[in-house]
Amino acid sequence: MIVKDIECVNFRNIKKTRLEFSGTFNIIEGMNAQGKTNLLEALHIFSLGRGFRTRKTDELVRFGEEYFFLRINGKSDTKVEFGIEFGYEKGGKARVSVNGNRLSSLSDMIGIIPTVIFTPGDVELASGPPAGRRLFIDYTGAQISPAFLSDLGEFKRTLKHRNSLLRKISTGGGGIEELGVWNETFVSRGAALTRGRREMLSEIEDAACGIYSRIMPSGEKLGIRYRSSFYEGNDTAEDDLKEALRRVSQAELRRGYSLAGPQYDDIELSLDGASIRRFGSQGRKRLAAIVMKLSQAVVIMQRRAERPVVLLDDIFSELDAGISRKVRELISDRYQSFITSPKKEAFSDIPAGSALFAVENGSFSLRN
Amino acid sequence: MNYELPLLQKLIGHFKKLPGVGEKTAQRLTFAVLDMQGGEVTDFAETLQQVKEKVRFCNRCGNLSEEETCRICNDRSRVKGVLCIVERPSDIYILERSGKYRGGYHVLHGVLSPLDGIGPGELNLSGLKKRVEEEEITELIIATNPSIEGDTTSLFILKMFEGKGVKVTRLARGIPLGSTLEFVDKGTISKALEGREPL
Ligand SMILES: Nc1ncnc2c1ncn2[C@@H]1O[C@H](COP(=O)(O)OP(=O)(O)OP(=O)(O)O)[C@@H](O)[C@H]1O
Ligand SMILES: [Mg+2]
Ligand SMILES: [Zn+2]
Repeated sequence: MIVKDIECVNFRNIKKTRLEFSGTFNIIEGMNAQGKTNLLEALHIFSLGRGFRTRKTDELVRFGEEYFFLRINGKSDTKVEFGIEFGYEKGGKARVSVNGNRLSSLSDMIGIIPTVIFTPGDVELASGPPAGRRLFIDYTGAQISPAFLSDLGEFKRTLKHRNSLLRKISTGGGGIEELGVWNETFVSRGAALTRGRREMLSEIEDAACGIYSRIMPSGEKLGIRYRSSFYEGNDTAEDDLKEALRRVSQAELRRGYSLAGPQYDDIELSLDGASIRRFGSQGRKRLAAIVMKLSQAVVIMQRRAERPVVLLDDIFSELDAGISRKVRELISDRYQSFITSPKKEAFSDIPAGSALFAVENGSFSLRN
Repeated sequence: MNYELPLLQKLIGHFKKLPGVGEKTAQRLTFAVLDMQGGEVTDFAETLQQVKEKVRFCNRCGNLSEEETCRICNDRSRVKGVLCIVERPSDIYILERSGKYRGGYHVLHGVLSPLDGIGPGELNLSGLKKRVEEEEITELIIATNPSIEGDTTSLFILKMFEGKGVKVTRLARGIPLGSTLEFVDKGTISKALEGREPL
């Protein structure tokens, strides 16, 4: 996938701009707080339908304005040209159209432009709480498979229903009569999601081991494992989840929310068998997180037969020069990428055909 | 200076409250009312009022009806012993359009949805239990929407009649996932009725 150009109106601090991109490297330079990340966020809208720094789309509207509008034109790897428009009015719903056809729901847009985003906060993938790792796997699956996306949505909705019911029961409001059937729905949807995540993660692991050893030829062996809170892979996931619910049933009725299920699952990252979260150095954690993201790109490419667009938000300043160069090689070999940097001329070895943009106070100018 | 006519604005306002009607359509409808003959307008207004007064839920199946019991329930030519369970009265109209189904109906008036505070007590389930006993029902076809809520409601009904000698099937396959009955065409419904599966 290649994004050929973007038009932004009233998006964050960007008043109005139209940029034509390189199909390979796009570097966005500028001082702090000028709008570099804002441009990546605009591109990210076309991946998930929202920004990556906020869930509140209202915040993306330029201060003092009532709406924003984004349009991109692009070309798939199979050479199909397309245009997507995204309009949003404060307090309203997003209006998205693809080649002029209005989409009935925002979730229909997910996955059209496969996207992988790298941010300095990614180190949390290796060092932070499990929620971030679940989000990583879910975001990967959502971009690859409509079936996964639908399983995920159904599970989340079931969890909300079930929590709401448990809260009602725990506060004496009744509802025990229908708990049984909600348990059954929870078990079937929870098991489906767990299977989907495990499958996705084993593909990620295959890709990640290869990538890690390319960056660290004589390094440790990277391990990635899905750690289900209830499923060991022996019986069916359904049976195990049913059993797990049975074990926590009394506690759930007291506490008023679900205490078992894939909402407690995690991914374990290890180097030569030792947990990275517990034993890894800061540098190894950062590298493991980057390898996860690079593998996400590979798996998306394999499953979709479409190269994702790669967004890199100022991640190189924190890496060793050697690792930084290898990561950039792995990306520039394959993907169209957008790289922000607060330093001028941060990259001495910019490949031919790249585009360099300078940004100041929301205004962009092409420098080459 | 405001040149708007208050009555006209009021009517436009009423039309705008209807689903799918925006400002422009509301204006068009208002001008169409102005163009009506006197008698026509009176009839229109009276019909609106009467619909609200006289149309209620059938005391047996929960369908919309102008009498105590609806026409489908009163139709002696319909197959006895089979009930199709739907979420709302509008679903009956959709199923009837397929022309394939000749049994009775039962309207739940909703589906289980803890997030909206809807449990079995909020649905027309006690009426269903009574009917199954009194009308000697042998088969229930559940036609709730294929959503999390519709599926769970369907499970609940299945459990209600487990071991009671009632065959419970789910009208499901052939209907695209996530779609509500309203968006499904006639042919798909006929096929789904033929291919209903035991739960
Ligand atoms: N809705 C908005 N309307 C107007 N300006 C906004 C809006 N949201 C953010 N901004 C402004 O955008 C600027 C931040 O832009 P951005 O995050 O892209 O900076 P950056 O160039 O990536 O900087 P850094 O190098 O510090 O990461 C800030 O000045 C902020 O006030
Ligand atoms: Mg930034
Ligand atoms: Zn009736």
